[in-house]
Order: sequence, then C-alpha cells, then structure tokens
Amino acid sequence: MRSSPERNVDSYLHDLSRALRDLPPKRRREIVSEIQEHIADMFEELPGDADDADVVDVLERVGDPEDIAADARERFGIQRWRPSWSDPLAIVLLLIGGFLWLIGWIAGVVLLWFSDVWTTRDKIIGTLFVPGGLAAPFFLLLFAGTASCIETTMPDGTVTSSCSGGLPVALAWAILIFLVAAPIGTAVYLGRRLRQARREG
Amino acid sequence: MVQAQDRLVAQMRRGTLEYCVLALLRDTRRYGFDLVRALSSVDGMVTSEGTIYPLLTRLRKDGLVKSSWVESSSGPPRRYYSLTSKGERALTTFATEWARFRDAVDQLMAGTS
Repeated sequence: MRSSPERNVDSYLHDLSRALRDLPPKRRREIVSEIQEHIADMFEELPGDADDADVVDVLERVGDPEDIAADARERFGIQRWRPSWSDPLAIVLLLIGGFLWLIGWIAGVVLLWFSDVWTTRDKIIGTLFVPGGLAAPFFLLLFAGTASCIETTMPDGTVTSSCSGGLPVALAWAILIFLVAAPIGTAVYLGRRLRQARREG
Repeated sequence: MVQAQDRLVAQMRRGTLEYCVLALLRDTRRYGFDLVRALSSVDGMVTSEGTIYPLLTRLRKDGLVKSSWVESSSGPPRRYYSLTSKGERALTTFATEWARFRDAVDQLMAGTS
C-alpha cells in the first residue's frame, strides 16, 4: 500500500502526460520525466516527510498540467489537437463521393488537401488513386458496356450487334480489378496514416 | 485591471524567458531544478515551475543548449544543461538587442526625446 502523497503525484504525472499528448512523444517523455525529478527534488527540500498539504503545495508550484501543456504547445508551435470530422469525411468522400456525380469526390480532394494530418505524398496518393474513387469503375462499366456495342437492324429484320474496339478480356479485368482495389487500398492507407498521426500527435 | 497586468507581464516574460535561461547557463551547467530555483528567485519570472521544462526541451531541440547525464551522489543521474556555441551566439545577439530596446523604451518612458 503506497502512501497517499505518492498516489497524488502519480495521478498528477498521469494528468500531465495526458495533457501533453499532442507533443512529439520523445519531447513529451522528456518533459514528464524531468518534472517528475523536479517534484522529487522539491520533496527533498522539505524538512520532514511530505504530508498531503505539502503535496498540494508542491504540485501547485509546479503548475496546472493544462497550463504547462498550453505553454509547451506554444513553444513547439502545435495547435491543440481537435479530432476533426473533416479528416474521416475526406476518406469517405474520396472512396464513394464519386457516386454523387463528381462533386462528392472533388469535395473529398479539397478536404484532403486542406487537412494538416497527411503529408504531401499522402495527398498525392489520395488524389491519383483513383480519381472518382469507387465510382470510376462503376461508371466505366455502365458506359463502356453500352457504348462499345452497336446494334444494327438489318434490312431483313435480324438484329446484329457488333461490339467494336474493346480491350482483351484479361486486360479489361485487370483494369477493373485495379480500379476497384486501388481506391479501397488508398482509403485504408489514408485511414492508417490518420490513426498514426492522431496517436503521435 | 489585475488581469490586464498579469497578461502584460506574461507577454513580456514570454519573449525573454528563454534568454534568461540561456544567460543562467552562460558560465555554468545546471540541471532543471537548479535552473527553476534560480529563475524563481527573480520576482515575476516563473509562475508555474513546470513550464520551464517544455522550454528546456525546445531549446535543446533548437540546438541552443545541450544536455548530458551526470551521476549524482544522491539519487538517480541528472540531466545537466549547458550552452552550445549556437546558444552563446543567440545570447550575445539578444543581449545587444535587449540593451538597445530597453534604452529606447526607457527614453520614451522618461518623456524626453
């Protein structure tokens, strides 16, 4: 059973670490461990063993974790992390926004590029793979399927349909599979990068 | 009024605190607690002691101070801070600019021109 002053310090350090969560992890660890040492040094200077009132006093001198964190954010030029709804929305729109004609997908691209979560490389990947998202293969199938076949009614009444152009079947399948897989892959990739960024802050 | 005064002091502190830390490290290396104690002994420099540590980490990241671990006779090793040559240059620049700035303000406050 640990004494209550120690428990209070532990819970203070816990609060501090949480308040600093949007700092680079290495800096955050440094700051927390140094403040921990600082508190230990303050206790050393006390004449006797620390009682609860001493702890309150010491922690007050160290400062409110939120104040320390606000100061740290300013020092490191970090905006407070706000879980932004626009980041997940960007991924969803890039994937299926194309079905709202092109507007949804374009909105997704705009959100993607305005976000500060992804790197430029991520944004390029998100834009190029694949314009229109899942709607691209869908519309391609819809239009390609009708456009490439011409039905002609012969004078004798028979109908022939001639499908011209077109790609070798294997290649067509490969392109189709790519067009379906690439947007899904990109969405998964962007989602992972988003999670990563949120964890590291 | 008290609040406005607090804000004023906070703003002035914000711009100068890091150079005060550099100045304290000019001739001697110090560890965190030691630095905070030295800063706290000057009225108005430090309100919450914990805020010095993000500052130290920042200065280290910017290459103005370096730190090294030093064994202590009592307890675990401590992280000691000292100035880098970049830090010395920054401090020299600040000292010059500060003197000029302070004189300019003093002159205006005195009401002579």
